[in-house]
Amino acid sequence: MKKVGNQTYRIENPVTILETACIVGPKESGGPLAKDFDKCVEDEFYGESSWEKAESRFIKDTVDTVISKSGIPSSKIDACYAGDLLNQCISSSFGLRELNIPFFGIFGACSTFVESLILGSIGVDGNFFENVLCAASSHFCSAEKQFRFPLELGNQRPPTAQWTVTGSGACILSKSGSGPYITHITPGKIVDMGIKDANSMGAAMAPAAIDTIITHFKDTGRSPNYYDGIFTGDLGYIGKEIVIEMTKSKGYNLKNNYNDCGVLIFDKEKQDTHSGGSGCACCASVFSGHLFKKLKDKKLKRILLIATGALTNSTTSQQGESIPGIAHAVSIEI
Amino acid sequence: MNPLETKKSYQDYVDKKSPNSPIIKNCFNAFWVGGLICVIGEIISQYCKFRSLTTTLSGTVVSISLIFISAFLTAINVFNRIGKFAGAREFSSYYRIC
Amino acid sequence: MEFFQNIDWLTVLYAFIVGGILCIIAQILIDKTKLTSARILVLYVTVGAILGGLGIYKYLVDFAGAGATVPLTGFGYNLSKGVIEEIKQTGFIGAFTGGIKACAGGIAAAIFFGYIASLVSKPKIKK
Repeated sequence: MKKVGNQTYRIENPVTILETACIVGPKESGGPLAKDFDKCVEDEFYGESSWEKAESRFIKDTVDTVISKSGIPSSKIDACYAGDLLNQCISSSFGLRELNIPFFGIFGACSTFVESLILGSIGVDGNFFENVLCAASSHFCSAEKQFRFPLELGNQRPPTAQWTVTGSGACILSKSGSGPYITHITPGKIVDMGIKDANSMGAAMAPAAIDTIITHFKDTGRSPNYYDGIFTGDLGYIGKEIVIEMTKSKGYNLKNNYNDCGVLIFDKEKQDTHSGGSGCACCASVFSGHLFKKLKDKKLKRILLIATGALTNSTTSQQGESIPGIAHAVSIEI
Repeated sequence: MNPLETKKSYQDYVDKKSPNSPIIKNCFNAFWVGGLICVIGEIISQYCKFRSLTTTLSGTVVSISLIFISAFLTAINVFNRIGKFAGAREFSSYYRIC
Repeated sequence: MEFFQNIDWLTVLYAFIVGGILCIIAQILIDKTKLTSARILVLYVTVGAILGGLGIYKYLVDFAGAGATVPLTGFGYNLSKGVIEEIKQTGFIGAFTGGIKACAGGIAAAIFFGYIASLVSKPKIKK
């Protein structure tokens, strides 16, 4: 691994994304990407008795699916990086407690999936690990309950609110394989522009995404046109607009090939999701389902995936603190 | 000026970008749903007085009846649909948290 | 059916209008300020208690009936009314007991029905 510029690292030993899997809930299966997901569950409870158990089952089943799809026995997987939004990352640790693979629980809010890809590829590139499992999950009901209000209260959602994606995405990184490869990683810095509204996450995270995107281009010397697609994790409609405008003012035109996973996953008009999707599973499921298929089919050859996270919790937002944002980027090429 | 320079200018920029709530529609729905709940309360109250209960006791009966209705609707999961549609927060939360 | 002939429809109309207007004010607070719904609820109760204590809210109750007592301001009004009456009867200690006494039926009902509902029902996603 070699450092290029300030914050970006080039992966020297190729790290292949061997296989991906994703399982989503009913709302996502009604969205435009439904056909790309491995499994669409028709019941938010997924046969369990609580939202937390349901979310754990989402991540467990997704991980089981990706392992069986890849054909690699779980004894050959050296490490697992996984995380979610619930307190102390219990969805991952409870869901994966029978996995029998060395486990790192990570928290990067909604940026968790790309954070796990970055940590995983460092491990593989450094010859520490042969195969690494990366996973993330979120659930609309458990997230609303933890971060906003109980569902039964029937609160109105303002137009800036985003809809947490129910589901999970997972992938296996491997030393051997023929692509798609993770070629560059740009871990992001925490950026806080003072947004306090827990219903305006896109705006809170957009400055971090802008910072990471511009740093990535400066470090690598690439221009936006180098990529076939640039995808942010869950900025939604408002955040997406901010990113386009602000990067343009810095001299980078993203208009042609940029989109946001939170914009892609739902149909805004039909599904009443207001400003788009959010949550760890937003980026994880859109990448594992939709984008990975396109890479495999060579419809996309080079993509830049930037997952964005709002590093907040319910206590800090009740205490009137602002929301620090973070964005991690990986470039994936075939 | 670049909005990303200070927190203040970014907040102003975001406020301009964020769509406003459909306030006229929300108020209209809040008005008629809220009014309707009061009408139900008033009719129960007049019925109690018709059955010659005291004013204080009628008020208590109104509270209990409306609390029962909202607890029942919450239990069968209708309430959050009304809440989403009409706001009408003053009632909904009262009858469950109280 | 004798009851329906005796309904005072004018008060019912006033109840509709006054209750509706109180809701509109709350809706504007939700949409135009960053106040959480819990704070708006507390604000309504407080305003009701103050107006009740000053003897102003009583006129609204006489005018609009349930239109003034059913919204949360009515709960505040009821608290203050209970306190005043209890102080008259039992003295200073009534300031602590009167409010809850006056609202006892509603509070007990909320706890009771809420408890029963939580036993029989299961959470569900918003649509």
